[in-house]
Amino acid sequence: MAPIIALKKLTKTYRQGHLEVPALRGLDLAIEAGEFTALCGPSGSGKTTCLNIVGALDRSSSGETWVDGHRLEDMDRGQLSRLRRDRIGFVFQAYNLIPVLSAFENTEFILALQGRPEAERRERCYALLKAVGLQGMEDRRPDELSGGQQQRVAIARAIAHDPAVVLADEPTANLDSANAEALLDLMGQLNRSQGITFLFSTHDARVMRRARRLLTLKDGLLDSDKAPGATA
Amino acid sequence: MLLMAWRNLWRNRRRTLITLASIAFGVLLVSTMSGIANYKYSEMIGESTRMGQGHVSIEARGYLADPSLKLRLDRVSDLRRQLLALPGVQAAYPRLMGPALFATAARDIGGPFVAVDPALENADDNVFLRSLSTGTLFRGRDDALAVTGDGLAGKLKLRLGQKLVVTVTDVGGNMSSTLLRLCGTFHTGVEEVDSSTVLLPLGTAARMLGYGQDQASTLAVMLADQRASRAFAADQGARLAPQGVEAKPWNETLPQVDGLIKVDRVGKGLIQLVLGLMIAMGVLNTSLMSVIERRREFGVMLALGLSPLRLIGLVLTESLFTGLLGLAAGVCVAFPWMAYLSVHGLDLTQAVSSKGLEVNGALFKPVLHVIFYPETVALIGGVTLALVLAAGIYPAWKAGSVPPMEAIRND
Repeated sequence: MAPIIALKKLTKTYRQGHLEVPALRGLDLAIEAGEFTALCGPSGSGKTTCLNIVGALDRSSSGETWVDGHRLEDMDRGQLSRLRRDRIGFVFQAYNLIPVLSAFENTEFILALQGRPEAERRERCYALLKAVGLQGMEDRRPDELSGGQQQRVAIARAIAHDPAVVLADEPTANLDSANAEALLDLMGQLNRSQGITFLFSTHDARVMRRARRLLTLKDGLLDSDKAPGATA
Repeated sequence: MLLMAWRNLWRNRRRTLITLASIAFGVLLVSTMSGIANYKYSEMIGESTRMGQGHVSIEARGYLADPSLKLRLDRVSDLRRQLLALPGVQAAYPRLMGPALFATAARDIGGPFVAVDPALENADDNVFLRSLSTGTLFRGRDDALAVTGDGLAGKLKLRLGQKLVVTVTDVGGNMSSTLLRLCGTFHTGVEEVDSSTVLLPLGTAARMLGYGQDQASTLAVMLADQRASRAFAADQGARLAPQGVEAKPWNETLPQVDGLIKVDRVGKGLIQLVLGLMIAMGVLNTSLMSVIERRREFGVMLALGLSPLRLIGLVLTESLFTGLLGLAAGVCVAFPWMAYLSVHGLDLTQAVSSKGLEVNGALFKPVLHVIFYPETVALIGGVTLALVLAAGIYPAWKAGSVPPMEAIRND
């Protein structure tokens, strides 16, 4: 079976004035469906660039990016937008919930964009919020939720539409230890019970310990690929 | 999306309220200007048309271009009856107008005469009748009586009951003189009119000119709404053309008044446009600020799969709500003010002149009222919404161009 994410000789070069700054220098990588993978490395190693390209938020300079059977380099803006909507879930470091929407409305945002029927959205989102431990808080706006609770809503939003892969950009960076552990428990449980593929970028040792596969980037190339042995 | 747009509007309550207040203030100013202008134009048209040829003048073909005595209307009574049966027609007055020489023992003076049928005329539609200052109007259409402007009576040293000889050139080109007596004088307040014009009985004037008793130079038609003049004249002109009759709206019989209104309208339009653009710039600034503040949020929405077009729609919907709310606030503020002006008016007597203002031979009281037509309200509402929406286009486009990568920036 083809990997859910495959990067082949991927390069990305940014321009800063007259300078060309390489962020990825020919990265090769494959992630299978159902993996729980952490992407780590020092600042400037290319983690965020890699996540942006895999998440169809940015384009590579050369090479190939395959996500859920789609070669992103062949897709236009509209197709990439639909791919993000239908096949990718995002969890951001700063939660990035939409401030004017309640927890329930944030969770159903993508389903509404997909045009799913209201009854289906209600059933799915109430169940998801219950699963992430936010039952009874559905009507609260983000500013009425703690950081940990907001990140739980972000996870519910990321998986509401059954994405092929969830990309998480330093999801625990803004959380205290207890909330970070609880969040990792939740994601690990979703990975095990629903087979959702997770790919994190992280500096957090707790996330690295929980990951079943740890990819380390250095200077835009894969430095190491190992299984820490810890269970998620 | 509608719900989001509505909630977004109230994220910065104070800023939104200030924007709405500026739109409301603009609506108030523009409404006041438009309402007063409508009233002013209505008065100008009303007073000027009441002087002679009505909102629509029915006359023999070519009379307007060359007002010769040979060009006259026949079977005026039948024509009048037909016109009165039409919807929107309030009155139709047969009138005969031309130049004459007015003489007394003291001196003679040339000037225009207006011949009317006293049984048909109504003071509301005849400025001379409304302005009678001494004596009375003649009662019969064949009376040997005349009413002159008080200025003319003074120049001719003519007092009530004294003789006045009126000399005209009849349809055959012969001089024809008739002896009449002065039964009244009028004072319209317009110097040029009061010092030269004479009001005659229609039958008497017809005899002097060699006209038949059912002939006149014009049928002055007064409409319930002067704005219908052009359409009415076009319809009746087409209907009556086979009889050698044409219908001219007031715009053509009073080109000076029409020109004055057009120039005034352009000036007023420019001022209103500048005002609208200033308010639109304020809305643009507010909307742009709000978009720049939400760059990350827009990036998140785009990252989650919202299409740029829908995002543009969201920001434009916010502008639409702003426009609608601003308009509603404007109506709330403007309505009581307009109601006051409509009933009491703005009295400028102290500032201008207690006698009134003369514009193009018509006199107006220096009290400004307002008139609102449905199309004025629609125009103000439409232009306000259009300007606010136009002001929202650039910020909306800016929102749609936010790169989705903005969502993942951690600053």
